[in-house]
Amino acid sequence: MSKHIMVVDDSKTIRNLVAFVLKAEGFKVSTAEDGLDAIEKLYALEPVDLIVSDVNMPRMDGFTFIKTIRTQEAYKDIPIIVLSTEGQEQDIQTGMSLGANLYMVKPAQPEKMVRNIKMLLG
Amino acid sequence: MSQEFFDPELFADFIAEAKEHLETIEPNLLELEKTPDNLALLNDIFRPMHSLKGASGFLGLNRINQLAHKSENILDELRKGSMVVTSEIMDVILASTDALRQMIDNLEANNSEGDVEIDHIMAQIDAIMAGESAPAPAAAEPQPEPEAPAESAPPLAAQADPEVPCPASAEESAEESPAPAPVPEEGENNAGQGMSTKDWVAGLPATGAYELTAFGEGHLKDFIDESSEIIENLNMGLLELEENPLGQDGLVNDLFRFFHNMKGNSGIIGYTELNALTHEAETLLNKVRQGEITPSHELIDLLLLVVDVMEALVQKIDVTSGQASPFDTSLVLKQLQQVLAGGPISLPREVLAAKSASPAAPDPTAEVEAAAPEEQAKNQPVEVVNPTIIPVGSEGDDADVFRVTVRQQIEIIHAALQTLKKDGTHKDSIDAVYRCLIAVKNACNFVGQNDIKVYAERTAGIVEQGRKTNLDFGLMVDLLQQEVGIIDDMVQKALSEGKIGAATEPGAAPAAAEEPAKPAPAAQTEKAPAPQAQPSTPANPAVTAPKPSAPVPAAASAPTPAAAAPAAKPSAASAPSKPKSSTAKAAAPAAPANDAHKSSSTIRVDHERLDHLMNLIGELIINRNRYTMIARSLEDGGPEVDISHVAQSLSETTYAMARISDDLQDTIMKVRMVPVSSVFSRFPRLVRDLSRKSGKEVDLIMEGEETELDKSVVEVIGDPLVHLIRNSVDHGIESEEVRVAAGKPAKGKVTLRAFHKGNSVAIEIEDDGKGIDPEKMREVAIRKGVITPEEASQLDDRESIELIFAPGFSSAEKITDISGRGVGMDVVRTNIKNLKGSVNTYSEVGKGTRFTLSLPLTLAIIDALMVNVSGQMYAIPLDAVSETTKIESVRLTDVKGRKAVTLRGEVLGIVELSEMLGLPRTDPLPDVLSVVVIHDNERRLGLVVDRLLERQEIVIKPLGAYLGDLKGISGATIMGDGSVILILDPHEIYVMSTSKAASMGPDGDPAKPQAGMSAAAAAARQ
Repeated sequence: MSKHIMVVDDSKTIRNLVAFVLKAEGFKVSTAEDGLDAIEKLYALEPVDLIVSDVNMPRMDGFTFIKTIRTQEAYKDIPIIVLSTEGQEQDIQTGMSLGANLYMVKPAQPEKMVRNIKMLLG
Repeated sequence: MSQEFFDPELFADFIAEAKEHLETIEPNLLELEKTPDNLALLNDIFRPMHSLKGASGFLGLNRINQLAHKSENILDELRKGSMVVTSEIMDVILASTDALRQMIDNLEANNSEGDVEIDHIMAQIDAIMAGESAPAPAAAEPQPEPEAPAESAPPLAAQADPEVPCPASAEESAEESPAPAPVPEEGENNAGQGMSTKDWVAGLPATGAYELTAFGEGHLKDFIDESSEIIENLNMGLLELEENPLGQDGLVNDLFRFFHNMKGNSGIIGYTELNALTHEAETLLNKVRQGEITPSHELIDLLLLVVDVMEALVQKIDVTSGQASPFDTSLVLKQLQQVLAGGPISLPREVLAAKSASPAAPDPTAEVEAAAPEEQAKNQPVEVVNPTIIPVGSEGDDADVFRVTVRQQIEIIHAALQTLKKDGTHKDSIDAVYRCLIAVKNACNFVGQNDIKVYAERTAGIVEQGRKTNLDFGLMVDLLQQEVGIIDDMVQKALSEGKIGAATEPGAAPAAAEEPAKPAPAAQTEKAPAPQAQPSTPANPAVTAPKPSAPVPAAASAPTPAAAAPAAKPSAASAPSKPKSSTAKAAAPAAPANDAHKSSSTIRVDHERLDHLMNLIGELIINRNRYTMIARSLEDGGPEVDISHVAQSLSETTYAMARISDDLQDTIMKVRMVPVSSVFSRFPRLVRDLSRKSGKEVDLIMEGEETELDKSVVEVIGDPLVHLIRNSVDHGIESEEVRVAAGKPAKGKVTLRAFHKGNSVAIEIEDDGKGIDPEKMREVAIRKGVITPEEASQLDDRESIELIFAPGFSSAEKITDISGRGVGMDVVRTNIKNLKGSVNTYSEVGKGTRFTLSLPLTLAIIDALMVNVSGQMYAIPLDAVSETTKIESVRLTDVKGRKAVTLRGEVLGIVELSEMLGLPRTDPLPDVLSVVVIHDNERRLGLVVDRLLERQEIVIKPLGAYLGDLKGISGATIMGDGSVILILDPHEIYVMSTSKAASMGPDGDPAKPQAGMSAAAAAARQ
């Protein structure tokens, strides 16, 4: 049974690229354009096993998104990888401490990211 | 570059997206220049630049990435308010967007970023960031003088500084020979620790080396350069702060920023130790900034120690291999954390010991834990404890991935436990602990570490039990800390025994196996320090060697300058040595416009429109089946077929077909429509540059940007519009004095306007400049030999103004680099004509000039009036037809050798189309003539035709190059019966009619058009 991963990023390039790489690795992938989109999809789609999320996004940023889904019983334990650049100041700390499992610096090589994802999924 | 690695679609997406980003950035930048403190605007610029950086990095587009990164940095500074918007900054950012656009265009055209010159832009940005020329807001405050990264020698002031001179620092020592030779043992100074601290730092135990994430040429080198600069600034700043600790807000801010930048930079390259250290230092400085901690001598000592450690860490980077071989920084980290937790400020006791004793190498393994009183945490206010962030994603092998993945989880757990210690019911923290334990379990499972996996799972079970029963975790923190400690130990042990790599082989992703090999060769060629970097290359063994307690690891890992220099040369030389013909052009601003149309571009389509198309195709198929059924009923029915019934269903089906094809056409047209704003968007920039260059203040007003045009049209009108706008700004708008003298506002105005006009779109470029003087035009045209004096006398004012489009014509007294070579306007008309459009000029001396481009909505399909001339069919674009009428031939009068008729009180010139096209006239003119009245802009002309036929939508097909540029013909179309019909060009017909009347008598029918026309018709029919 392949694991289901959701990729949340407002950049279509990154979304598709990450999805592309993950699919090549046999994962089932869904994508969302921002936090709100992701939340809507999380309820519409079959259960997601891991989320890769950007931080700087329109409508709802990555941390608000993570914070929001962490309050949900269904998603409080789901592994989350934050995919972002270094430029997000202080709140990256807070956001990370309670929301995400890994912080990945863009530009990370997607092939390498796959391994971190596999680690988290076991 | 790994451009070929990924799906081409991803690239197409990236290009489309990148272009969008740039299109967002540019107008906002121009807006920003007007309102420099509009923060929202800055954010709007920052975000797309940021996305561009991210996306390009992902695709391995190093140059785009680097440049976007630099630009983002400076935007970030602006956003944070640590810099103010200046025109210099604007120029450099605009230059960088130009370069980015060029690279993206290159990428689109030939799949590579190309050889766009970006280094000078980046150098400029660096210079500005370093405060070289941009005025810093806190300029009045005594702050360390930053220097440009390109500068090779650190100022001697830094050397003379009591804190810095330390031969252990190879970097400095290389430069230092002329300075008063410092004997290591006498290195004592007012801060009291310089020499020995560095020795102590040098003696810290090394931890495992690992690969840094460097992307792009010289990235690591840049990092090292920048780091040395920051370190230098930090050293100076800290000393300054120590001497004058009060009222130094600006200085503290600077120091904070230095640490912050260092943290960011180290984060990018994935230098964990440096990142962690600078993070703590940054946090500490933040507290100083907020007045929570006073900058005591002890604090400065500690921070100086941090800087020393930073420096040593930077030296542990091997540029050639892209590897860092860091040492254990936990002692210093702990001190920092202790201070942050409100504990006493002190140096690690080893340092103190070393300081008071001799510079003998301290025992690095001594009492590591002693100095870190963890109990301090209890005094903290209840707030969430933040974990150390370890950026991942760039690890070499699986063991590394495992190490950092687990490390991060454990960091998060530690932080969460700290929080729980203060508040045992903090649910988020409990969940975090559980979640991360599961993650550790999974990771261990993945690498086949069953023992650890079981242990982590059991620990997670405890947490799960606890959170189910709403237990106060305050009581469990100690237990959990132990458990996690054990897990950590097990992980470290497994890692050090090398179990991880071996265990993962079978389970690992196939791609992972090749990983380590890839970055290595790249690192060797790219990351070599360039020659000018020598001052900051780590070691000069000659200098370090004689020193008694020389840091051996540093010397060993550092490449000698001699080795580094040749390595750098090929990479430096290879960059400029693959020039493409476009290089020079590429660097020039606004040059790449003409590349736009040749690339196979993509188009974004609204999902609903696609659905609609799909739906229509469905209907089309159903309709086809109906035809099949009708055919079958005719075949099978034999004699008893009800013809009228078949006829009825045939016409019904045909009707349905018509409806579907109309709808299809409509939808496809809509799909192809894009707003002209995509071309207009680059003009504010153009006008800005032009007005700067020419020294005239010009406002550009744009209207109707939302007007939609066929994409193929939009793509090609850019160039003509550029020429027209240049022309307006350069020749139309007068200089300020002239304007003021003429009673006009000092600031010129150029209006760019798009609107629908019937079946076409008009684009107007209007200026309020000096206008075109017809008299002068004639004069110049004669002087330049464009026309003869006789011809000139025939031209009315309007026609004289049109001379501006004649090849070789330029009335400008002086040729500027903006316009005035007499090529542009000619090209404009040719281009617009190629688009089946027309240019109309209206000008009033002293008031201004207006160019109106009429463009077809689409290039593909037009409405046309079909006429019959000498037995052949022709199509006249309906746009140009103002009416059709019948005129009795007796009403024709002769005016200056031209036939004319008075139609509703207006004199209308009449020509026979057969004559214009050089066709044999069928018979003497009938009594009643069929006349098509065409208009070319505001002029009208009656064309006598043999028969007026119906109005039809026709599909335009180009005539093809082999037929050449036929006067009066703009293309051909294929009729329902398969015959080919030529499409007339009303504008040219008009021009031909006037020139013919002017240049020849009634019988001077030139043979040339005739031959051409017949050939064209014949060829087109094949």
